[in-house]
This record gives sequence, structure tokens and C-alpha cells, in this order.
Amino acid sequence: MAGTVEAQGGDTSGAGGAKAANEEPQRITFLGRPALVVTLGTGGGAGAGARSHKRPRHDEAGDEGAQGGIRQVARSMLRAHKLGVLVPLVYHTDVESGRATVEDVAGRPLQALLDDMVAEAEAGSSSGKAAADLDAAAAALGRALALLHDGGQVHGGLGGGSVLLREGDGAVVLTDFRRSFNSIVALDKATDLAGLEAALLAAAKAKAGAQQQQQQQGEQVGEQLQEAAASAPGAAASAEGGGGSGAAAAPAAAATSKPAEIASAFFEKLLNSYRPSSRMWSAVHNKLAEVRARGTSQGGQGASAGAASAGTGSNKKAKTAAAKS
Amino acid sequence: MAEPTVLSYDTHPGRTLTAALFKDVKNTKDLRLLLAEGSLPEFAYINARVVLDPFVLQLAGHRALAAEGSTRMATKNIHTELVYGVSATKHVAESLKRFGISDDTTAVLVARFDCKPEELEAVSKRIEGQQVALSELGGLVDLELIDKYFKVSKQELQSRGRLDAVTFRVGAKDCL
Repeated sequence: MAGTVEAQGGDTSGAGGAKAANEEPQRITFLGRPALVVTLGTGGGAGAGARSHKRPRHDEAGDEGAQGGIRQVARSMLRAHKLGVLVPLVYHTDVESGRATVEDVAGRPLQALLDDMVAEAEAGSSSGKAAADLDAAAAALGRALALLHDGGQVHGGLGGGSVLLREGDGAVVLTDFRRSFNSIVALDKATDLAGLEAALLAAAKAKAGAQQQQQQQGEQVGEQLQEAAASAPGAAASAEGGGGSGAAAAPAAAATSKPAEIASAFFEKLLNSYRPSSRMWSAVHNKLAEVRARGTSQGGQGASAGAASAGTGSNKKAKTAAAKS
Repeated sequence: MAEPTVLSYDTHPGRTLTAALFKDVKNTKDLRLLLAEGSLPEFAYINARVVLDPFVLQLAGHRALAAEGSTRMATKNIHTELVYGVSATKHVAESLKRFGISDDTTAVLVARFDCKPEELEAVSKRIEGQQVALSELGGLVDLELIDKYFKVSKQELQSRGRLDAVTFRVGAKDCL
């Protein structure tokens, strides 16, 4: 991940204008604590030139930096923290360069746990450690999101990579607040949840696709080498959900692949925990059905288009929030 | 006689922050006047009761070092910047008032960047109080006042505790 670790504060090279926010975070030790230096953008985005007086077009500045820059991210994180949601602590912010030094939380991403679960399921056990951990994580994440949403904040970038499970107690820590903004609108909250579902399913699909490829390659290799006996069971064991050779190809591509099943089950459990913890459930629930329907008809793109159009509705809020900063 | 603590910074090699803690200080009124006059050596003079932990001081020190000399300084020198840094708000005057020394301050935390021993000596002589180790800060702190100034919510106390709550605000101050 990080190349050379530079323990500089980051107040040099603050070039004017947009700062690319796609640099890998540097791992450093900050005052004796493990920390990450992340670049979040200064808040002008790519529109610091000709369009600086206008809101950036929503297809621009895709994943780079936050719309409101480092201020928006830091404020969103503090709001989440005040509500009782676990986020990395912010140790230092450098507004000029758009960099922040934040706590490096020791833990693994949710995606890793989901992958473990897939491995466990394939190995045949359905009530192993990963399953128990996953249930706990779903419940905890549901509660955390309910707290966040009830408090008027939306994460905007939920997925297997931005949810961390803390080492030791497995507590849910939310990271990557680049797209977070404050909103009390049910549609935004629903979009937040639907976005999580879409991200998990997309990851599951990718995993299914990769495993399918692996499996096919494994079969070819097995045929070519005379070790068919050894590698075929090996390939079959590592094949996901689908089991045997050709028969696996079709179901693996469909939404009923093991990773997708697990992701869906996780999301349902999450909703089950979110529902009783949220005071706004009925409003969010209605919108959620809408957003999900919109989303599944176009796959992953639908979810982000939904997010974009929901985003434009709430862009006003994000804009006001950014304007205030 | 307790020893002062010298803190250093990986991010700013070669710079140090020397801190000394005094309790049962009797002459804070005089000190405040001298400070206003400018007759006290340049140190950060902080109300020790509202600094939760030495880490908070160190964190604010980092911020002051990072801001030094740039337009991002909110106050006139790096030591007033340190007092500003440990405070709960962005409001400069209020910060200096609440977190600096006032007439009813009883415990004083003094700190200076790249401090020479004789400089600390000169200050220690002016303070009529007992110098104690920096680690005793926790025993002097007024938790209620901290919760009030930093507006620490119940949920925060439960989920992460006071030190994290204060750390967050001090660390992200420039963005809040």
C-alpha cells in the first residue's frame, strides 16, 4: 500500500487549485499513535478554474476528494462521532493542502469478513466463526447507520471497504467520509443504504466472476496436466457455490452465487437491525423500495445514477454546507 | 522539585516543547497583569484545569508548529497559538480567556517551544506555586468544565470517552 513512509506534516507542496485525492494514504506514527495521512482535496474540486463560481458538474470529480473538501469531511466525521458512531479520530488538518492526519484504526474491512464467510460456506460449515462475526457486524452496522441517519448525516460511500471491524471487539468503524453530507431527507438515507447494498453485491459479483474464471482455468490446467485427479477436487473445492464444472458457470454468473447470497443475507440482517434502531424507519423504508427498484434494473450504474439524482436533490444541502465552510 | 517534561515531534524534527505544571498557584492575578504588560517571558500560560491530558497539549503543539509563520496562525506568536490550540472553540478571544490564565486560576501549565533551562527557571521563579510532574495533570483537571467547554455529548462519552472527544476537536479545529 504505502511506498516510502514520510513522516512530514504535509504543509509543503500545497499547490493551488485542485489537489488530486487519489494518492494512497501514508502510514505514519503520529505522536506515538498509528495514523494515516490522507489527501482529501481543498474543496474547490476540479472547478477551481472556469467554473469556480458554479457548482461542479456532478459527473466530474468522480471519486476524487470531497465536494466540500477537507472541511466537509472533517465536519462530517465529527458529527458522526458526536452521535456515537465510531470513526477514525482526526489528529490534524491542513486546510491549505487538503491533507488530514487521522487515526489508523486497527481492524479489517467488512469485505474481508464477507470473503471469509464465503470461504467458510464453501468449506461446508454454515455456523462457523465468520458467520457469527458477520451477524454481529450486521447488527452493529445497522445500529450505527440508524444513529447516523437519525442524527441527520449520510455517509454517501458505504461499502465493503469503508466499513472497518475494529480489532479486538469487532466494533463497527466507518471510514472514508469523502461523500458524506448532512441531510434529514429520507431519500438520501435510503440512497445511502441502497448504495451499501449495491456495493456489496457488486463486490460479490466481481468475486463470483473471478472465481468462475479461476475455476475454468483450473479445469483447463487440470486437463492439460496429468494431475487432473489432484487439481480437479482442488478446483472444485475452491469453486464458489456452484460446485461442479460447467454447471457452475451459469449459476455463478447469476445473482444466486454464494458471495451474492451472503451479501444479500448480510444486508437483510442489517436492515433488521436498522429498523428498530431508527426513528425514521417508515419514511426511509418507502424510499428504499423505490431506490432499490431503480437500482437493480441497471445494476451498479443504476445505484450510482440513483445516487447522483438523489445527490442533485441534496446537492443544495451539500452546497450550502460547503458554502458555509 | 518535579522535572519539566520535554516533548518532541517526529513531524518536526529538532523542535521540542517543554512543559511544566504548577499547582496551588497563589499569584495568578499578578501573573495575568504581568502577562498583559508583556513583562513575562514568552511562554504559553495555560489554565491547567481545562487541559485533559498531556496528549492534548502535545497535539496542540503540533498544530502550532504546523501553523507557525503561515497565514494560518490565528494569534500573534507560536505560544499564544498553543493556548488557542488546546481550546474548544475557534473563537480566539474566548479561547485565550478561558484557556489562558485568569484571576481565579489555581493551576498553571506553562510551555515553551525549544526552551532553554534558564528560560524555564526564569518563569518558575515568578510562579508562586508548587511544581509537580506533568503526569499529575489528570488529577488537577475539572472534568465538568471540560465537558461544558468542549460540549462533549453523552453518546461520545459512552462510545469513545472524553480524551477522544477532546482530541478530535483539537485535531480538527481548523476545519470546524
